[in-house]
Amino acid sequence: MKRKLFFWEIICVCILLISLISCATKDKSPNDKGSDSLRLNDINKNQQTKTVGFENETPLLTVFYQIPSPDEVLVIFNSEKTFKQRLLLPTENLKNLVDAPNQALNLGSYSADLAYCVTSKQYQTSLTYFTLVRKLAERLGISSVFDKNMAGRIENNINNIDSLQQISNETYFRIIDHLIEIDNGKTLIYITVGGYVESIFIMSNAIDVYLKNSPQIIQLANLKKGINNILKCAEFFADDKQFTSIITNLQDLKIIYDQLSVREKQKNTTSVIKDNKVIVDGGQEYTITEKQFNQLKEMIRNIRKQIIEIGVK
Amino acid sequence: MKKYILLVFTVLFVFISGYKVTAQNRCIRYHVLKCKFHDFDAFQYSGQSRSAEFYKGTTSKFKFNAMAGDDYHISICYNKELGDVQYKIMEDNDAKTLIYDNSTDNFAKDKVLTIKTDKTFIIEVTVPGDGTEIQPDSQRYCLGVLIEYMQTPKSGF
Repeated sequence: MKRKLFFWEIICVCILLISLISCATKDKSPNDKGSDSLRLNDINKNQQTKTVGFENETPLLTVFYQIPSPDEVLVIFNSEKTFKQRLLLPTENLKNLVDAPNQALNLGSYSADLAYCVTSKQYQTSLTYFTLVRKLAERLGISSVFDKNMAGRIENNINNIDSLQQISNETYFRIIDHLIEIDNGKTLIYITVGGYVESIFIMSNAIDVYLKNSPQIIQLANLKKGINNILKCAEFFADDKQFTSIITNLQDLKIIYDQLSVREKQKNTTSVIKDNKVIVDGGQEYTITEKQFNQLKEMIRNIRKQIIEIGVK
Repeated sequence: MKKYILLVFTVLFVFISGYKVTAQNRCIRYHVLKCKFHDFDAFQYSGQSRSAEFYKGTTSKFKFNAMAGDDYHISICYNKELGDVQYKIMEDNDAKTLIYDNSTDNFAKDKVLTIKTDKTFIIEVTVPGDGTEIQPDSQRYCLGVLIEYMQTPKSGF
């Protein structure tokens, strides 16, 4: 009898321990199964030699971290006067997003729309797009990044632009960090590509008249580095047929970006400390002609259309 | 009886191995938890922020892109066991032009950069000490670099 009791005690301890282990790995997306999902840790792991320091991360993440978020790109829009509602993805598109890659791409796009609404001080529209982002995250099985307080925080800060910007930024990075944590590289890159394309679309289509030295035109030219890094990340998905057509078009976009000329503001970079800030100036910057601007605008419109339509059944 | 003890040890081994993987990732969000955010609310978190494990004598670097027209707040945080950590910000060009070195600024832990022309920078972090030998896990500590950005405020009229 005593022996039998001991046996059941052992079994209970085992069950408890196994539950603890499975809890630690449970939070995976339903779209994150088998070979369909690219594990960040599987990518070129043998290239890592250092065991400490920043170089210990995977090559994909090294490039990925250098891609600016939609909030970072669209921070330049800081006035409600320049806001154009027509640039946002229609909210009703949500019901057409049936497969995981399309949901992930559009989650990135809607995150960029949310960033644009927030930086342009469109409070009510921000709330609508936040809800869309949350719904898509739910469909992708990553809704655990949203806590109950988040929607409440938006409603409570509806007129506080700095808080809204923080919530929009936090939402995006909670999703990104969660995907890195659960090792889902594919969804991570889909969201990033969707967000980047939508950001360039907004940036280029919000400009009505081309002015060579306007901050928006300069910012648009400066997105060249991001495209290069997006394409480097995409190299890890060479076998993904659904993604290939978008990548081909992004390569065409890169061709336009590669044609931008370089202007030297000052020959060398200068750094001066003023009011306890380091002011960095000089060196080279990219310039974009009106013809290149129109080509780029057209090209990004097509890629965005492709993202909306891909996978729609 | 032996059978049961073996079973318990097997389960414990699996559990501990799983725990070790988690321990290796313990630094992932260190910069969010420990680094000083700028007091000014308009600064926003940048996804280019990083954290990693370091031991004494380690030098490590990463790149980050800074956009023209923005201010960047760079804030470093680490376990005090690592000593006075040096960080340098250099331009990612052939000459590796030095932009800032905190060792000439009393090992300041944060700085704001105003960017007038788009740049790619290298942030190089050096932990003092003899780095010739690989040290045990117990000597590894987290170090984070938090990056925040905002549009450069307009000055004057």
